[in-house]
Amino acid sequence: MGRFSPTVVDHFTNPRNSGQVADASVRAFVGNPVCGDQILLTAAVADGVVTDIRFQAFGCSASLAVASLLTEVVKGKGLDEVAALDADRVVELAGGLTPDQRHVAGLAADVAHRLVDNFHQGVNDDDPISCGA
Amino acid sequence: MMTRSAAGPDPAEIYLDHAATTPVAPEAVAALGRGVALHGNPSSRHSAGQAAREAVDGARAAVARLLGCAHDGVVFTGGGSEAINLALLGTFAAAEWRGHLVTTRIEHAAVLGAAGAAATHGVAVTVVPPDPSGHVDPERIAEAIRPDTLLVSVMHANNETGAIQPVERITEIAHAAGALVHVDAVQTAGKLPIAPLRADLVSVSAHKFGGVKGVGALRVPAGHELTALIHGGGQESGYRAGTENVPGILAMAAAAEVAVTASADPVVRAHREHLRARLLAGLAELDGIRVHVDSRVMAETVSVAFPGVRGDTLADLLDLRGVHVSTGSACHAGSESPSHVLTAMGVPADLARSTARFSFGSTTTEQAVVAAAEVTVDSVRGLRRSWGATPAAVAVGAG
Repeated sequence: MGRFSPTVVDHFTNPRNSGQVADASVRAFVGNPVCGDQILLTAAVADGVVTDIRFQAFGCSASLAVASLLTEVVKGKGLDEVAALDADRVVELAGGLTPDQRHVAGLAADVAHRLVDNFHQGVNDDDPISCGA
Repeated sequence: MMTRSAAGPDPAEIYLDHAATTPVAPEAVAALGRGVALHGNPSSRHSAGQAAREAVDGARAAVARLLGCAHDGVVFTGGGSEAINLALLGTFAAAEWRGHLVTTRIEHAAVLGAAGAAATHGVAVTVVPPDPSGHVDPERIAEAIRPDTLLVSVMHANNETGAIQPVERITEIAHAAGALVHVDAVQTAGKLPIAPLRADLVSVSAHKFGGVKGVGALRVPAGHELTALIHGGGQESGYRAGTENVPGILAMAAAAEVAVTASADPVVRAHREHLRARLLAGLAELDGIRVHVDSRVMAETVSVAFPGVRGDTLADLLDLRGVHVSTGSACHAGSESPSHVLTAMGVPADLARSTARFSFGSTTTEQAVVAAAEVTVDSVRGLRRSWGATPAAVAVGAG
């Protein structure tokens, strides 16, 4: 399919790290709960490093793919590196996104930043993903 | 989760989007070749031109049999949308944009767009909602008809849900009130008999029943006042200027002959009903699905909501796994707005967005339908896992 990069196809059809981390250190949610793209990250953090991370996502094909991709990128990284992730880097890691898909790169960067912020502030987001059910 | 090996047999390229367009029939391919070889212009006096003219006349007779009219009642157009626009705008233009149009909220964009264009010229338009079942109540049409109603336009069956509309009863009501009737038979031509329709104007599109894209036809009764939308050389009895698309018209005629035979064959009809039953039986393994229309419906069109999954995302995943379906009308694919048809039926926006349309054609096999159902079940389960849906939540959402 020409609309998606091979990386996006790979993660969309074979998502990695879906679900939630048991006893997570931090939970972060970004998205539009009224049927927009939504990503929830749960992670275990030890000594400033993300040791485990899982995602739940609802939305377009590309948003599910970048959520999966994000968990692979972030796992094992220090929180400073996670905080430095931006949308352009997500586009690059995804092997390119079409103009109508690029918003999901911003969504992925936003939820990564929120994960870091929530951890530093000691807060957790709820699990609001409910659209479509 | 979603490798092909995990889903059983590889369903390589299962095409279940025949409501969008269907493969060109072999007979139409052959006719297309004959048409291409006819290099003359049908309007030319010389023998090359007259050979093309004779071929077009023969094709007109075949399409007339599909439409149930005299051969001079067939106006070839550049597709179904043009036929519909000619029916609506041509009729009201001939009436100097006076009068009233009644149509419904579930019509194809071609009808709704033409109705909107007519309104800008001063035509009064009433748009009748369907029942939650997806069917238009003829009594609602009766209530909408006014003394100045010139035309009632209703589709034979809906392109997204397959709901067969009571067009014969609506035609009786409209005619009794002195109004004309246009039936958009784009979805039903070649699947349901359209020749017996008593409507005045009937529009069809060749590529929906095995012809090629870019050719359509409008049934126009003798004496009907119709103003051409395309002006020029006076072809098509002055209703549609432009040199005839000879190959496309010949292909349409060949496809029509095949389709007329098939649509009247009880074995073919029974097979389509069987395909529908097999698909729905396979999908029934999923919690909470909703079939939007399952009575008074074309067997070929199955519109299903999968709560917990976005329809566009499911269609993408199925595509990557070799199963081609639509989120609804192909014209709306890519739009983030929920279907205007499902919305008009009162379907909640989230359920409308979770909808996929499976549609069958002459090449659809039982094996393909069964495999598509298996892949769909696996894909929906996988997507639901991606956001942690629980069966209970899905069931609530489907209620």
